Amino acid sequence: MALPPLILRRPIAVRFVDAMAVVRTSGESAEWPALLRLAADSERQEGGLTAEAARALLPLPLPAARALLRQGVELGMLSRDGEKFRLTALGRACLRQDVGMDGHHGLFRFAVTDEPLLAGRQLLHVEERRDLTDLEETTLEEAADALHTEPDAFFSSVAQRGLLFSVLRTSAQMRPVPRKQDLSLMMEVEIRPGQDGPFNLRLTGQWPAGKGTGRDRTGGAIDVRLTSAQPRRPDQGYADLLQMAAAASGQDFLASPGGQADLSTGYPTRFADAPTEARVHFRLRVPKIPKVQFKVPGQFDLGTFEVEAFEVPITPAAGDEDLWGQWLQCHLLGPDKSPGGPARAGEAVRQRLPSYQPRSGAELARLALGRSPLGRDVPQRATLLEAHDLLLWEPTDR
Amino acid sequence: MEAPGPTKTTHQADTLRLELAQAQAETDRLKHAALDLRKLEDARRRPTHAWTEAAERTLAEWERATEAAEKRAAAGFVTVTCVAATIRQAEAMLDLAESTGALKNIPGASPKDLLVLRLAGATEDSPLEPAARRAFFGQADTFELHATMRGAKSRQPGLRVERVCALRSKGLLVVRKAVQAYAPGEAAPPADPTERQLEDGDPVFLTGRIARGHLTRRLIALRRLREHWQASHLPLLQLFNPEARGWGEAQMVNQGDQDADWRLLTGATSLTTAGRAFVRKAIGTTDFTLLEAPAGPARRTAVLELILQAIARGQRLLVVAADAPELDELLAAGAALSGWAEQVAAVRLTDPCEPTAPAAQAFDLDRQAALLTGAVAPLSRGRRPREVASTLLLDTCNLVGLPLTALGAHPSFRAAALTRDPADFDQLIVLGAERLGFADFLVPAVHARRWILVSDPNAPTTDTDLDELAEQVVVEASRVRLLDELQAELAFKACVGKDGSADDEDSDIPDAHGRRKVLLVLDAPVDEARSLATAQAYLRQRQLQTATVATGEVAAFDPAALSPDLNVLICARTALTGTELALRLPPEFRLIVGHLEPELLEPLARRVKLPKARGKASATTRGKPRPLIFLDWQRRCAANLQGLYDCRRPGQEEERSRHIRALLLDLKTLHPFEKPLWEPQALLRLKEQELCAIFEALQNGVRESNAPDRSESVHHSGLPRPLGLSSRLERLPGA
Repeated sequence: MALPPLILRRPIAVRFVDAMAVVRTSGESAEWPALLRLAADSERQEGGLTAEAARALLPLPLPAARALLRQGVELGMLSRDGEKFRLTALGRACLRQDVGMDGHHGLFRFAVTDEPLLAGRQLLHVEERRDLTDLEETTLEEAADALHTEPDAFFSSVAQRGLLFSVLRTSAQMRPVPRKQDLSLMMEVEIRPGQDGPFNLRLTGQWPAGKGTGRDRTGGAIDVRLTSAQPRRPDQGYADLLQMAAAASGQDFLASPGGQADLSTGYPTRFADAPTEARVHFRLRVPKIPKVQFKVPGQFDLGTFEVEAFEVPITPAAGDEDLWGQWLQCHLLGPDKSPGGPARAGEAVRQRLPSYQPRSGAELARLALGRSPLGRDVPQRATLLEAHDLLLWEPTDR
Repeated sequence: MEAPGPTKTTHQADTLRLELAQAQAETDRLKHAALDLRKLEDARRRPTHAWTEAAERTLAEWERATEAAEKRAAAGFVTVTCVAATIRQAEAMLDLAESTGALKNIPGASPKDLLVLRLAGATEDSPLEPAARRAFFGQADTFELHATMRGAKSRQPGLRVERVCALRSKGLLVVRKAVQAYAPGEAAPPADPTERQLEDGDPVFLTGRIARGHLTRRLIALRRLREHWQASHLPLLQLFNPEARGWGEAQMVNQGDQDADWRLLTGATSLTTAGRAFVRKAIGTTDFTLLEAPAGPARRTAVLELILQAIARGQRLLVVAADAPELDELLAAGAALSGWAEQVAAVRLTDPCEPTAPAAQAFDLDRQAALLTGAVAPLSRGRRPREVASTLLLDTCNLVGLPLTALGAHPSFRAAALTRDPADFDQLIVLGAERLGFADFLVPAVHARRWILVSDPNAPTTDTDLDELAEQVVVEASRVRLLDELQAELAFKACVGKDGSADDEDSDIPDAHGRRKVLLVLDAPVDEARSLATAQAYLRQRQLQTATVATGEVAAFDPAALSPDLNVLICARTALTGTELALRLPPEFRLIVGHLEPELLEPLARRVKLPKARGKASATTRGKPRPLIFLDWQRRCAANLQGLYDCRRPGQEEERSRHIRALLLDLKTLHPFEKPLWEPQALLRLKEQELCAIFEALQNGVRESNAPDRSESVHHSGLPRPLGLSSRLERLPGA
């Protein structure tokens, strides 16, 4: 029995900020990929790359070879240890992507977001502003912290595949681009059972093309997978989040105006042929929930997400008479799925079985979830009052 | 004095840039400064360079003017007389072509397809005009040969030739005739008469397009300074500030006095002391350092010491020399030092029309790139390996040297490089800064953070291209839309005999009313009808009888129908170059006002009947009268501006005032109660930009007059005295 992954979605706002900055960006390079490869090999064999070894690859004059390696340090791809040079994390990333870094000074437009799950990785993209004609009259505001990055931090752009960048220095004052140019991307978080590691994120959306030519022009559909830098806390486990999603899945079935017509069944054979010990599979189907606040006061707040529909199989223990009784009751309630249906069916059953006590959908859900494989009795379960559509199912061969 | 805060500007980005620039400048200053805390603490003595609106306005105007001048130059041609070179010269040039590999690019070329020409004026006594040097020894390499000057000037098709090899210093060109295709079976076309004329030893006329490369480079430098400036550019922007504030006192680096601290400047001579002071100032400065020293071993030693000390501090240097041999000697002297190869990776860029001295050929960029190309080829990823190798060398070397004539060879100075960051040099060293104009100085200066100017006080200053200056005068006048009126005013003065020319020969021309007949030729490339109408209206206001001939009306033009009282006949230049108007002009019009080649009016000159000798001067003292008298308004202005600049030193006030009067004459009307047509500020600023050498501009600033008692209109102030200048200036003994 496989528990479902929880797919959470919410839109994130991307703001644009213009600032004078010194930025390094990756790009095609003739010499750097080869030099980085050489540096990686030299690091394994000799502990680092020297200028003399670099000259074996590129027969430059010795001072020029030294200058080239120093440039590598300034560009963040190499680190210096005496006369030897080693790869940094950025250097390794460049080596993987077969690119080199180049430094630029000028006016840049940064795409930033204040999405908490992206904390520490709030810079999404940078592009140089060549066309200054569309700058509007705005008042200067205080800097956003997003642009003040760690010295060795580098990022990969979400808007331009393969672009690595790092921000060295920015002016203290920046100019936010007017709000109407803000962008909305969809962030998807996938949480799998048993996964306790960082959150896996996916950003999708349409990135607008900028004005101007060359590097300014970036645009098109984006679909990027990232790993959140925010560490997951122990109380942000799969089970807790699944329960919260299920709990927030809607009101009492009977009270909801539209009713929930979706049922699913896991029962494979006719009831009459099933042995007593047969397990009856319940499925708790939670439809798409537009708004779930993943918040436990004093513990965590992941914010509000939209939850993709999911199903939770529930297996009651065999021999649980009470649950058999519920099954019978539901079976007898019949196919009427309207909000008043169960009440009418319950009344019809009571006429045949005077001892039958109709229960509300919530009660039935509580009882059913009480037997859920999600675990033991935990205090939160008391808060799971309403299952949206539950227990009205039909055997497949009816 | 507090550093100025961001000022309001129409350019939104600049306040951000200014803020970052000031922060970076402060960091650089603290990192770079020597340890004279008194200078650091005292706000008056601490350099605080600032961006100002005045700088942006001046740069914007200058950029517009340069752009307009470049557009005008695109349509212009220059013609030079040339003859066939002597046999010895021809052999030497062909050997040079072979040794430089120029003949490899034209397979199948035999010596008989090549012509070796010597341009007139290529001697020490009468050097080639700057325009000719740029046109024929620059980037363009296709020209036309004509048998007559008239054919050349009137742009008739001539014999097309391509340059194969050239030697600028001798004025020698090796050219190849463009191949004329003909179908098999057909007879080869006959030899051009121009070739026969050349073989006979007669002069022919070589025409080429006016060179625009230097204007383009200036434009790029101005754009970079205006739109993409960085912290390192603040001192350059400060030069445009009329107020002499913010320069402070330059720092000197703490370099010891022991001989062990120096490589070449050792011993206890006055030369060593002055040289060391120069190196200390040059390394310690945050902006400019000036050295006055005659060219020679002393200057070379001081500069070499500076190079070694700067490179030892991890700096990158750009050396630009007005004189290519001096650069080669410097590199050769450096290469001879022990330890040079371990410290210095030098590259020399070459002017294709001036070969590198053998001692410096090892540094030649092409040669070094050829050695690197093989290693770089597998890494090039679709780019040309030679280009990748050159870029790699230029990015990693710590000393780049190039002569002034090879500025176009550096990729960072080209138009395509404007979108990239400037090539980052810590210091620019200019050898021969007395020959580098302000505009040309900016081209390499925007790529450096500090500027060291070395000048010989006894050497002549920049030789100016008067034609180009005249073109820029026209650009300025066109910008204020007064060009037609100014030329019409000169025509009016010529008509009434008050044009200020000293020639007595037009005393025979006036009619009974004391008026002369004037042909006014307007240079109206775009809107001919409007120009003709403007000039005509202006002259009618002056009570003159005028008539116009538009280019399209030349066929219907009947000289006999002109009124005998006609004073001024107005036409456009295109009417003379493109039609037969010159053949039909009445011969009474001997006074020509306009910028045109005399050859265009040769048919008119032939028909002019010279009057018998009359007038005040006796026939023996008067020269033979010319059939036509030309008055060129823009050339007169350019000559007066040049004269103003040449007479800038004390003791030359009389000549200076003569030039001022002549200049104002051409800008004012005759009537004293009318205000001048055009105030001279724009022309004076043009003079400062085009004529003033950078060394002088920094020492003296640029003012209308050097007389201290007159109130001056200051265009920019230069380095203020005493502290600002003396802390940056050093003189070697013998200077």
